[in-house]
Amino acid sequence: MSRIEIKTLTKKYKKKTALDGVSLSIDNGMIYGLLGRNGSGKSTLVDLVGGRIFPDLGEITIDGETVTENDKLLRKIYCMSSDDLLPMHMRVKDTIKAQAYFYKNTDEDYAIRLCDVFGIDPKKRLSQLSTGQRTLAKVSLALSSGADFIFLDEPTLGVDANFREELYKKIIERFDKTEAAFIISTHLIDECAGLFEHCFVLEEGRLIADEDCEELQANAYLIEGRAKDVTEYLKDKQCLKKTIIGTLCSACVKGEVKDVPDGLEVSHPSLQQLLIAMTGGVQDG
Amino acid sequence: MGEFLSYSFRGKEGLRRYLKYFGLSLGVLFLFHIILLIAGIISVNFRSDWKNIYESAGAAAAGIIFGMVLYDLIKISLHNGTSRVSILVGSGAAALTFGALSSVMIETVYLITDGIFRLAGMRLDCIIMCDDRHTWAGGEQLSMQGMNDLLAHDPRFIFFSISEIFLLVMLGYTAVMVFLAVKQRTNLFGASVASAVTAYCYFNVFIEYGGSVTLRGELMSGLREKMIYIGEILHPNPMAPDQYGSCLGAVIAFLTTALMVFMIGYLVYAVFILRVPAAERKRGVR
Repeated sequence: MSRIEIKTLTKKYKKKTALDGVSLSIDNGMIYGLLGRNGSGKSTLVDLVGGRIFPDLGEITIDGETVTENDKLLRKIYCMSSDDLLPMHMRVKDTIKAQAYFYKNTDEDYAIRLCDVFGIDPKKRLSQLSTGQRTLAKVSLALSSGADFIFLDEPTLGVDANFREELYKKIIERFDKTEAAFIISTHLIDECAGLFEHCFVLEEGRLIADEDCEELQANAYLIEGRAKDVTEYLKDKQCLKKTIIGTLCSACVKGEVKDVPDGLEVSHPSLQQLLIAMTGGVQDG
Repeated sequence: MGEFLSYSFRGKEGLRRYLKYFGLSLGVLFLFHIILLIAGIISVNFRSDWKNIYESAGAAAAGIIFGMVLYDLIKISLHNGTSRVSILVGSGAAALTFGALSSVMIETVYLITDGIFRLAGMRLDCIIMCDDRHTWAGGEQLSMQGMNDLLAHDPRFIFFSISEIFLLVMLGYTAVMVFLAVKQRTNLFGASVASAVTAYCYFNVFIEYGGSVTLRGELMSGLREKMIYIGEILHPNPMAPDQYGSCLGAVIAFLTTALMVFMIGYLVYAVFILRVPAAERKRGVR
């Protein structure tokens, strides 16, 4: 079983720190969610792991061996970027063939089948596809790459609901068939929540959560009720986010549920609600 | 690096695309000549150096097309998990191979055109290296012979000519590699300076070279000086009768110069390409 270790990864763009000492590890045979708000550094992390940009500090290794300038290890990682990095004049079938030169385990037939499922004509040029189709073509390339670690950055960008459902099925199918790790960066958290086993949450370049999704959700709760009661209840609690609408208040609280007075309702937040709470700060609406 | 080279030579966006566009541009030049011939614009007395036009326009086209192909090769390779070192070494090897192939193609088109011109009772000019410091009587003599018949098809001349074209093609390649490497860094100022320098170099090479070559011929002054210097060491006299050894000397001199020029550009390319980001944006974090 392979493992990617990321150690104190730091990347700066001029004065802006995109990633600030991020350390995490990724194992084969897991589906990870890479979550965070816009500009939190998710895509930067994916590009760094794929060797497309260079870190200012830190190291990325696979089984202890550094990935930088190492073709053999770079081919264990496939990074689907949300940007269009391939020449737009290329036909979809040619991108598949090109990939097979570099990723020797590329399943070309499977890639063509996926294109068929997603309604993409492989003879079309990338420039002739819509945004959603281009995304699906890139996902088809990624899923057929045969890499050990597959990073999907915004795999649902511009994709309609029908194809998104199909896409999730295909990711699960592929995951079942291979030992690969899938790392999915998305903003459609509730839709993808069922896929994720483990979550990385980034905020302003820092890793603020690195936990199993169930544990993450179990370790937080929503509390709702009259604003006065909720505010009183929150006094000695770690409130992630509080929203007041009129006389009603709802808050997301970190920790175990305890000492809930009558009149307040408790529930567990969805992953998306939790993420919003974790990355949105405390608001007094 | 194996994968990069494999795709460069066998992949659709590599050599195949290069040959398609380069062949097309040579075809256009060829047709242009033939049309001029049919239209009667070129006559026996027309002493233009058509080979030189093939060399100049052909080498410029080769450079630009190589730039286009290499640009896409870099993008495809970086997308598919290839290290910068592999791209660097691979593109150097590809440049030399593509360049050699292009030189042979240019010479072939020249010979075909020359053959057709001969059928029409004309001939293409060719270059004889003669200057003040090297008065090559043999060259002079062959120049006169060349007025009437065989010079273009002389194996020595072909051998000599291909190496000379190779030098020009490598000049073109070097310029675009420097430009590309700077452009890949999304450095607009650098790219502008590189393109200005590139344009200036092209101007010097092709305008001076094109303007000064006659049947008695001489290369552009700077290049000529270099050739004389190298020539003094190697004693090249490619057109001297029965002096195949001397012709080899001239070929070596050309190839040496081509490699020297290429290596200088390649070093600049290496410095930039080793840190080329494939996905970095000038502004904003994603």
